[in-house]
Amino acid sequence: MKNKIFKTISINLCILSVSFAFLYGQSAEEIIKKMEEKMFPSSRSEMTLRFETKTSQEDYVFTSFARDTNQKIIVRFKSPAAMLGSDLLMLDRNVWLYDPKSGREMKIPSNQSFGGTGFSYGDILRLNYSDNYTASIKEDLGDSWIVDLVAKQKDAPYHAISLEIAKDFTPVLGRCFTRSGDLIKEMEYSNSKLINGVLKPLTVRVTSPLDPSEVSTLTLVKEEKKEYPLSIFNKRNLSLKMEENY
Amino acid sequence: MKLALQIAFRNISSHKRKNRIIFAVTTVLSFFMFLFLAFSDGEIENIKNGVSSFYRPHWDLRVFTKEFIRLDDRGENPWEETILNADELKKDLLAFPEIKEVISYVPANNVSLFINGKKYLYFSPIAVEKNDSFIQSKYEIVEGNTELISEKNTISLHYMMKKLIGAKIGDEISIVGDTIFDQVTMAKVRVSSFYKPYFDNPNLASSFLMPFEDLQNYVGYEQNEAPYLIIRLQPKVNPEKMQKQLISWAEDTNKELRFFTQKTSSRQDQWAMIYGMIRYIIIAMTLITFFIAAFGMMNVVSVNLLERAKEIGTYYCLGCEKPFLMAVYTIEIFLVNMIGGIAGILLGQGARLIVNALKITSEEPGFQIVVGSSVFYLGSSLSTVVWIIGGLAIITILTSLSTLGKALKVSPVVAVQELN
Amino acid sequence: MINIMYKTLIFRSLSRHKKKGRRLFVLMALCSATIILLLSFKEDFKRQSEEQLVQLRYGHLEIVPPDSPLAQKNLITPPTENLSFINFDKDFDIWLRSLPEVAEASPSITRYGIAYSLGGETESWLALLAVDAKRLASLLPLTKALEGSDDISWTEGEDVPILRATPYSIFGSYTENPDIFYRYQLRANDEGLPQFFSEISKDFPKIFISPPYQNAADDWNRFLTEWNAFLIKEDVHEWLDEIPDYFFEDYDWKLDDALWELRENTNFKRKPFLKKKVFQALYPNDIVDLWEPVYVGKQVTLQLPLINATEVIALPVAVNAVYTGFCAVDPLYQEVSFMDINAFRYYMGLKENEATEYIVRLHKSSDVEKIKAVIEDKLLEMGSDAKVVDWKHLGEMQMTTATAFTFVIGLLIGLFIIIVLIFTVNLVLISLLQRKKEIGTGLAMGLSTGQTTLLMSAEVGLIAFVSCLLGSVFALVLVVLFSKIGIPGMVFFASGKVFLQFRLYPFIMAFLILVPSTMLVSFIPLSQLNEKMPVDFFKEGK
Repeated sequence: MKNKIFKTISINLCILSVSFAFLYGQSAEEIIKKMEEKMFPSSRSEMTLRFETKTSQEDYVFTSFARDTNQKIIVRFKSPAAMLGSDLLMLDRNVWLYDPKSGREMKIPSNQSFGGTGFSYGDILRLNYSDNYTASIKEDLGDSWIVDLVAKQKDAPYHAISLEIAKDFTPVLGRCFTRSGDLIKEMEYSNSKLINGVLKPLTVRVTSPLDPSEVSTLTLVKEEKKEYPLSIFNKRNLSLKMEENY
Repeated sequence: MKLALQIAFRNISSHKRKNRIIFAVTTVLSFFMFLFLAFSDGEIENIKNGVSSFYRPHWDLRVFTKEFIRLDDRGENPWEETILNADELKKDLLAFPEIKEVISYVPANNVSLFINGKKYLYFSPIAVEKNDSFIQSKYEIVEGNTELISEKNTISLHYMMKKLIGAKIGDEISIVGDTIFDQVTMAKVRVSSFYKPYFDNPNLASSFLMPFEDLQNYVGYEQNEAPYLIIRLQPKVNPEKMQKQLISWAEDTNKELRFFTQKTSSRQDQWAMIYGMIRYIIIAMTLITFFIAAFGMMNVVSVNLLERAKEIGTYYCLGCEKPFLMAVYTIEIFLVNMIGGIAGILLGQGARLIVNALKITSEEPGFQIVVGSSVFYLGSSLSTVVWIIGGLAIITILTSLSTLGKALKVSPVVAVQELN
Repeated sequence: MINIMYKTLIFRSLSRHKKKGRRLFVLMALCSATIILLLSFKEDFKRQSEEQLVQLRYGHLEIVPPDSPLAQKNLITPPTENLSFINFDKDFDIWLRSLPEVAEASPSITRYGIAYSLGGETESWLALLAVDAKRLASLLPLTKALEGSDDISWTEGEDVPILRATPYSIFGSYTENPDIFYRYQLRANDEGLPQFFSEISKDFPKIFISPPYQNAADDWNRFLTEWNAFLIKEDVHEWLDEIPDYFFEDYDWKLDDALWELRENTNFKRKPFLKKKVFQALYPNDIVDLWEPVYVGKQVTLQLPLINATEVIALPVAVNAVYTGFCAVDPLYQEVSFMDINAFRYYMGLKENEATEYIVRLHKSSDVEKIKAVIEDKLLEMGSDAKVVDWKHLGEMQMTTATAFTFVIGLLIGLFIIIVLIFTVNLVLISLLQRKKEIGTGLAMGLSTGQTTLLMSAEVGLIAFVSCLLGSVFALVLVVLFSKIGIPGMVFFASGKVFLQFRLYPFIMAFLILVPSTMLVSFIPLSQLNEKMPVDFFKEGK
């Protein structure tokens, strides 16, 4: 009897330790990768962006075509009408804006703001963490990790990000910092729902201490997993729209 | 030669009256030429102490990584190839007794300032480092907190901005611009003071001072990182010799660094170029003046020598040869010119000291552009003296070549003849 | 009778004492020539400064909104992002241009933009002035194209022509040929170069026809010659089909883009550069990033920031543009490029008559004050609060350089006159000594001291007059020469030179300055004659 109990306890302990080992043994990079796989699969997604200030509110709807955990993204605006055709392409940290009237692309910094505000193209295009940042676990809060991300190159969208990731590999809260350590953006993830069999937050709310009255909310409305060929992620496709053939 | 000199000196003292006119002309010429060149020297000094000090602060040597130079030579963007351990390197360099200061340098693009609901364009941030005595000696704080460098997230605006854009101490300003890596960057700062350059210039009006660490972060660099370092040497230390010493030190300690002096650097200060060209125009005018004055001198000298035919005949009687007499009279002309020249230069120096003591200043942009800064300053340089002496030497050569040949064609018999 | 006597005496003295006066004669001739040249230089420096200001940028007058930075007292006020507009209708335009003193007038808009190459890369930041295309040549004549065409007329549907500020300015110039490779564009050092040679020549045997290229120093020129010869060849497609397959094993968007750009390109001027880009995409580790050069006919995308944007995600306006030509720039101040105001209004959604200023150029500068007052009265009548500023205010900084030169030249001229006068006094003094017997004889024969003074002074005057004549001829030759080739070293002007113009005024001034002044100063030593008796002139000694 004693032996049986001991055996049970040992086996359970082993299972527990293996589980712990499994959990604690995860490197920060692995955590980030898993989170990205969950949050940013190769897919076609419909998204809405709401921008609110004290006096106004604007809504935008767009479709994004992404692969390689957001390393390659095409964004096509569906509304408002003024934005139709003004599409974005991100490739290897280069961002191009397509202007339908001129039929030309222009390379822009990923952190360039719209209309002089704090909101950037990079916020729309969604950050690729593993490509741009070096990760390390700062703290284990039990049901989540605090992961510190530091930019690998100087042209990364933000210098440092502190990302709280839940143990199910979904982001909870992201805080973006300048080189001097000032908080420049906060990204709050919420509205977890099942989508394509995966439970993940569909909404991210972006605020900035520089202008607390401005709030941007990005919501994932629909996601269809799809593997788009690499050959559609190039500048000429901004006008050709080859992704519609897939 | 000693005898020729002795005779020349004696001739000068014997014929004081005859040489008076030459002395007067060379003095007047030298005086005015000195003032013109002093004006040009003053412009260049003003630019060096003023706008160039801020945008291209003085350096004796610059230190880069080898990769920075390789990329730069290839026309690629070198600004990521930085010195990563700048503070440690500075400590190592400061161990050399010949080195007075080592400063980190960060470049900055133009920024826009959001203030009082308006966005103003084309402002330039200038970093002020704690240890940088050079830049701190170029301005004064006219209002507000003099402790700029100890306060983070503050800036010091040019004092004209009080009037021009209505800025006040304590105003919150957003600075928006690009890092040198083409990233949009923003910072919220407070106006802690207004500064006034000692040598103001319209191009400085849109510059503001920022603590070095703040600007370093703003443009995209880490705290201990700099694209290159500026070395300022102790007085009288030869930069080229120091460069050699540092190169071998870097090799011995396996540091992938390159050192440049002003002579080996290909980068030019645009302002210095412009005012340098103005100086050449002034020098050209000076030389033309000397050339023309030479004709007058020739006339005077030839008449003088005509009247001294008896003296010349006497020298021939005593056995002097023509070349010897040519030397004597050339030395005499040269000495008279030099005495006049030195007198003119000294008078010019005197006038210069008086004008500088008056401290003529103006806030008018036009005035500042012409004289190089807000202060009207007459400078002084060795090259000015060299040009004037050189000009007088030209006069001497022209005079002696054109007059002595004929004037010395005198028969020894003249020594004993009655003259009409 | 007396006049004939004077003339005879003067001319006889002069011919007798030719040699004595020769050097003074030469001195005065040189002085007068220099005075003429300096006066011409001063006038032409000022003229060119004014022309550059008026005919390249501001016109004589500008009508601006009251809060425009140009209306501010101090022109170093930094500009703002937001623009203020004036809006004058066609009647005002007709009225303004009908004024007889007005040579041309046009509404204009000052803005900045960013030019991108067709590949989407940033090329340059441009200061823009949008004006009526048909009026540009007559409004700002110095914008005449240095290269290409200055016709910036735009038709909807076409690329917007831009008369670009020349990239070949005094402080920066494009000296390299952008259509070929240079050594510095290869990353490999000398040791690594042969490996690159070997690799690329294996991949493209039809281009690199004389392998091996084993030695960097010896084989480099041959390698480069073959490479660059290929770049400037016409054919494109054959070569593209011969790119080895292994380059396409893994999809590379940069290569894809480079190839596509080259295939789609129809501008022959771009071909060599696009070929270079393909090579750069094929060998990204060996060839540095390439920047497309600026040239006439280059198509660009001009990104213009929105004016007073209201939406958050308000994207800048992208305009298809083409560099139709290069125009001169003011080397020391902002370089300005020009475009059609109609195109600007169209793309920026502005109203038909909106402008940030109205530029007015007059036939003569002397009418500035008069026309300024006329326009101000008209604006008052219309109830407009727009302000009128003149070129002197707008070009305050530029014109002070001209003023400074005027002052310096004035001083120099004064200096020359002093030198001449000193030497004149000296010459007269010496003449008195050397010609004392002659003077004494004259006095003994009945000439008064006054007459003698007058005679000698007239001699000096005649020498001065004739030397001024000679100096004028010499100066005239130089003026004509410098009117053709210009005086170099002038960093203030687009051409780098000052071109002199013939004017009578400096010639007359030289005479008016030198002749009377030399005659006057000659009286100083001659005044001694009054104290002397005829017999004094025959004594030995001085």
